[in-house]
Amino acid sequence: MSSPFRQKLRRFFSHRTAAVGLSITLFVIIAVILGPMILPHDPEMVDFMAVLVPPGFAHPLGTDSFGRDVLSRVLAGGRVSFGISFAAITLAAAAGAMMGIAAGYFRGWCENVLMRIADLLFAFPSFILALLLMVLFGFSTVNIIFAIALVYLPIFARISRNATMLIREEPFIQAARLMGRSPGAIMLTDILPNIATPLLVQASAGLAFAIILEAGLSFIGLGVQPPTPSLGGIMADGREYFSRAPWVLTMSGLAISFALLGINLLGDGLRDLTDPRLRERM
Amino acid sequence: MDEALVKIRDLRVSFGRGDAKTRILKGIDIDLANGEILGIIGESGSGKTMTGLSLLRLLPQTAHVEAVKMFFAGEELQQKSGGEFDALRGVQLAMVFQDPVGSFNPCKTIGWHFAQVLRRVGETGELRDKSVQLLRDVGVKRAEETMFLYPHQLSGGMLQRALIALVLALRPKLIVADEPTTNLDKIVEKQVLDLFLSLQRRLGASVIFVTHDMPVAASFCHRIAVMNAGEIVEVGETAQIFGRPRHPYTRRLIDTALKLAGANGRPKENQSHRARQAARFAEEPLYRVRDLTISFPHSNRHGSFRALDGVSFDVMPGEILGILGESGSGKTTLGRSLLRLYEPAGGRIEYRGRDITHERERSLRSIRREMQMVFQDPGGSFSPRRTMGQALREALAMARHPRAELRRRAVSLLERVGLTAEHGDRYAHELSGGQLQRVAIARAIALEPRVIVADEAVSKLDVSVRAEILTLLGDVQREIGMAIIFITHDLDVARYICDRIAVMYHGKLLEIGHTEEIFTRPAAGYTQSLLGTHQNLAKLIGAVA
Repeated sequence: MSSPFRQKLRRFFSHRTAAVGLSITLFVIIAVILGPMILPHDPEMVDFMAVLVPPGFAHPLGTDSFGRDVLSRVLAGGRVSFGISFAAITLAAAAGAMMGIAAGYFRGWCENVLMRIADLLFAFPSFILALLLMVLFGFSTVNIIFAIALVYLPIFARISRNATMLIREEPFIQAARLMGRSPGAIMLTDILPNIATPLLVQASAGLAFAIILEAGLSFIGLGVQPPTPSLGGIMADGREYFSRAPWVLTMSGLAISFALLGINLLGDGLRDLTDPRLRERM
Repeated sequence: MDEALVKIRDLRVSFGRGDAKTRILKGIDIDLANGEILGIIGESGSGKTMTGLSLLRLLPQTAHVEAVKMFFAGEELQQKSGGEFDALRGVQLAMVFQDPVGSFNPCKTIGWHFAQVLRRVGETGELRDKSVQLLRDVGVKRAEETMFLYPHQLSGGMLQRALIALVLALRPKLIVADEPTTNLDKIVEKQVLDLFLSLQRRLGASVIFVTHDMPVAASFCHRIAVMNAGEIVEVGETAQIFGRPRHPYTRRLIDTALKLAGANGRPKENQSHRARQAARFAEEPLYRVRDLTISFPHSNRHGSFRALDGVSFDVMPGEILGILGESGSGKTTLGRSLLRLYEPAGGRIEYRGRDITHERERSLRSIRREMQMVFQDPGGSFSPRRTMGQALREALAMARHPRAELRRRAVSLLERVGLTAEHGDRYAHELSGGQLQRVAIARAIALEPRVIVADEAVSKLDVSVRAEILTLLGDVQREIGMAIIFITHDLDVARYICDRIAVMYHGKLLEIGHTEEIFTRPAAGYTQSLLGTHQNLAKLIGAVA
């Protein structure tokens, strides 16, 4: 006897992309959560006796120009970056899906208003928009989350709207209407689960891009403010003395790439696995 | 020359390998003489389509095909390389698919398609004139104009004619026709089949005709092969197959078809039924529809398209009212507007004395539960992400059944429609079409409706399942006493289940009356010609046997 949950788990791990993606992502998450607690060095502790030490036994990824341990900083910075991106994408996906489903289900003026808002947000290049929002709201971690969420909101809104329009004439939606269910209930229980797949895939891609966006903002000094470490901030520091100590920039950059690889693989795997119609073919 | 054109021995097709291997064809033998029409009949999943596809090497790459012999015109097809086969396919071997729309490139005009095909067979010179002539041959009236049209601008019947003209331009030796008229309306189907037959005679081509439609097979084919579960259970002359079927499966297939086509339909014309029906008309009608007009905005032009045009009729409580018509006649629109899924442009809909013509969605919700629908597409009727049990419990909850009882009631509903509790844990894609339609009926009756609109509820089901579902629907109706609006294009089905029939044509309601009246004394000219195309299987069998 195996429970449905175990079956799902087994199916998940028999899918190589998903399994590898999940392993990397889990490793990254555990590392950024537990890392700063275990590692002996405080990421913000300055040690002028050990400035720009190359990678070695005491400092696996070396130290930066203030003598701070790069590994500790990357993990602590990763925690901040990851947290911000995750919160921002969750926010964007939730709000965007709400907008998009409502627009696709009700059509008419509701669609016009909501989608024109989305178009307006879309009209700006994402980085410029995030910059603008940061300048308008002021620099704080919460505001970075909102800024990134606003950048990704229209993508989720559009995907949800298109997916909703594709299925709104399906008999099962009509059947739900005929049962006398309220539009809210239909959107939540009949539409949302059936359009979740593209949203999930987009969310995983978005998560990766949000990390890049956050790093970019911090890199030019408009994101997380020092001395709080963030991946972008570490890279910005590392760039200044790249010729003398290339490990700071390279190692933090590699850390980002590794995390993004995991998230993207996971997203691809999830897309294959969450569609019941695709399951049997594997 | 009496040599067989096609000779296939022990054709086997499978997908996957090892444990996951699914055998689709389990050793098929086919012989086809020159100029012969071989019908392959069977239910969906029997492998009849696969047989045609494997002959033309059109199976997906994942399929594994093997045969002892696969001769076509004295040559072994299996030894042909890809290039050699390509030269043969589309010239000597042609195929007509079920869906004519998918057979055309939507970005190119009809004329372009003809030019391609004519060049392929080495025609030169005035291709346009030849194409126009070909189109005329298949009965396309304004052939010159049609050349400049795109596939989406033609009706299904016209496209299928054009496709047949294209296939005939190839002058193939063998045509594999896979349900070529299943998507067409009955009147058009008859025309297209007649046309196909006359051109086939002229060219002397052999045809493998795949169909699930018994009357069509009986009237069209010389010999018939009956397929079931990847095997040919019986081959014989058409007269023998229909007159003296040897295999029990063949007999069952024909009996079910006959049951539906039975002259008397279901046993409804007895005294008590008549009395009940008479009593019904003394009651207040469930629906009173007057001058109903529904219009949709035109997709490319301004203005609008009238899907329904001044339709008036009543629906009595507890009756089964058939709405009969071809595709595009507005019968589905009519059914849906009774449920107020569309807002009428004019006229009036009264439901139990209450005017719901322009009722707002919010206030409709309280009476929606009383109006249910069974859809044509069993697969789309359920959310792919919920189990059947969840769907039923949801419906029961909407009908205000106590929470604690939902599970038990859902199981008893499943049992009522001939399924078991175990089906409640399954998802839609894990059930067959017939099983899904049973659950759809269960869901509809869970809400204790006063009316169920069944929109082509059995059209996508196999013949053997069709009768079961109709019987179930009839039983449930008698038990619960709701009215059923039964939308169909199938004359046999309408006659089998309906008390009264309304005939629709081009958005207008031509006539409405008791089933036997409509069938024996049709008033409208259209109804008469519709009935004229109707091939009674019993009579056909009498004729061929």
